[in-house]
Amino acid sequence: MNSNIKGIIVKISAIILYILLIVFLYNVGKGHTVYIFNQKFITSNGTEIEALYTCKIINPVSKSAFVDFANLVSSKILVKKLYQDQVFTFHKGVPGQIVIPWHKKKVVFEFYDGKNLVKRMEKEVVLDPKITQYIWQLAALYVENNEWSGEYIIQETTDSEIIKDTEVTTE
Amino acid sequence: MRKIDNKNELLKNIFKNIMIFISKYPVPIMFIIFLIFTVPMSHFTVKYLINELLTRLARNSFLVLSLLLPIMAGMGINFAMVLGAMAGQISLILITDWSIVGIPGFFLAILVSLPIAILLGFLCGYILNRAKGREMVTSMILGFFMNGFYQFIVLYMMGPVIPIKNKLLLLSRGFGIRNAINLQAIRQCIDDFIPITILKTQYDPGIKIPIATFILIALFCFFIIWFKKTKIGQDMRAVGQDRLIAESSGIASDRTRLLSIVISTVLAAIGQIIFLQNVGTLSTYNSHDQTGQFAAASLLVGGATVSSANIGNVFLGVTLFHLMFIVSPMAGKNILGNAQVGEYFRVFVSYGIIAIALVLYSWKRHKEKERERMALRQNTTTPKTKTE
Repeated sequence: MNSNIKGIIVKISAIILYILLIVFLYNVGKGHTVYIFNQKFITSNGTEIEALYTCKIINPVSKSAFVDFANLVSSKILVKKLYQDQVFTFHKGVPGQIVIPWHKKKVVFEFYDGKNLVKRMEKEVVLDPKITQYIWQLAALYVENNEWSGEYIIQETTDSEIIKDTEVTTE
Repeated sequence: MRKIDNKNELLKNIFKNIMIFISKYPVPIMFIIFLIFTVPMSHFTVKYLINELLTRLARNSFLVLSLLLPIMAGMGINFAMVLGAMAGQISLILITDWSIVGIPGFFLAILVSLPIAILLGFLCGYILNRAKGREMVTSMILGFFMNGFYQFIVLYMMGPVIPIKNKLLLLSRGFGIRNAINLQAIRQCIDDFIPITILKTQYDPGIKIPIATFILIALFCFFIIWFKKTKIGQDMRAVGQDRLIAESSGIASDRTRLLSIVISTVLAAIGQIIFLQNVGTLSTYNSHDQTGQFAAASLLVGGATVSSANIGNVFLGVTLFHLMFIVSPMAGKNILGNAQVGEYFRVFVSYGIIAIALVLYSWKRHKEKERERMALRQNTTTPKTKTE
């Protein structure tokens, strides 16, 4: 009888542990699919013009806890990171897609016109864990045209709604 | 004269041993001879070959290792490991929809695939227990049957019944999963967990060694070694050697066989997740298709048979089989001017090798039985002649 009860307790606790592990991993690993479109300029009068840039996203997702730890130690001892930052490159004309953990704070975007860096911006990512998808329409500036310099628009788009966010460029 | 006789005897013994070795390992020897010719013809550098081999060893070893337990239990090659692969893929579709990133995503995929793989493995083991002696062909056909069921779930149930929020995963009609899924969220998360690159120069990316994946594979190898020593492991070996004797000595053979298939299916699910995190793209309707055949072919190339296999066979087989995969298209192009010939050749070899191994196995068994019969006949006839 005792062994029977023991067996049942072990089985129930295994099931509870299994469910808890699923909940834990779900919350720790929860991310957002972010779609990158960098082919649009939006002028002050709202006209949209195609602009093809290569977009690099620097260190959007940590490679691993081990890499973070190794970089932390090496940057303190050797004043140099042991592993390079992870870079995602989305080539011009090709919309990109990336999944960012919701708790990740800083993402660096770099826009290249051919080989030259046109724009670099750091975006504080404070995403709502309830929203599963964001579409960031990065309406980049056209450097040769003064009319469009000054501001760019980042649109964080869910399936149904568009949240507009205007920022000042740091070129 | 005696010296010459001794020399002749020594040569005879060496020749005999070589012949025994060849008859014991015909498939690996064939492959090694083939590779001796094709590797130089491919014009690949050693560095490139090592890099590719390490990637493929990390990618495929787990899947091939999952075949060992059913062989130990005397059930032959478990072609129904495709069921485990399907379970792994379903869990990957789900975690992609939930946008779970990195290592947590990888482990969550394993956890989600567990109950599906256990259920499918139980079903498979139950059916194979009713098809004793014909397990391999039954498991292969079961794989084809379950493929239809998998397609029904993925093509029709995902969307309306199983909620999928990410519209990019769904077909344009609103239900069913697209042909290809980008697994960017967990792409190479295990391979890159402890990334080590050796011989890296300014112009050469070097040789990348996915340490974490190899640690996982090593842990699995230790598990198999440990498992063989446990009570269940010993029972599996006893059932594999002779089911009737094992049953008469009190081992529940059906339960042991079922357990071996369940464990194999679960491990195949994990293996498929490791495989796909390395590849980074899931081909929803094709990725699992040839998992069983390729894993079986790798194992057989390593010198295993349908009745005996060990960890050494796995690594030798994966190395030889995938080295052929790497070099054959380029060798085909350089020898015959057409890379497609090499492609055809590797597909032909991967299926052909299974056929050869099975034919050799049945031929050996036939010979052994004949030898046993002869020995029995001799035993029964000699006393008679003595009495006469």
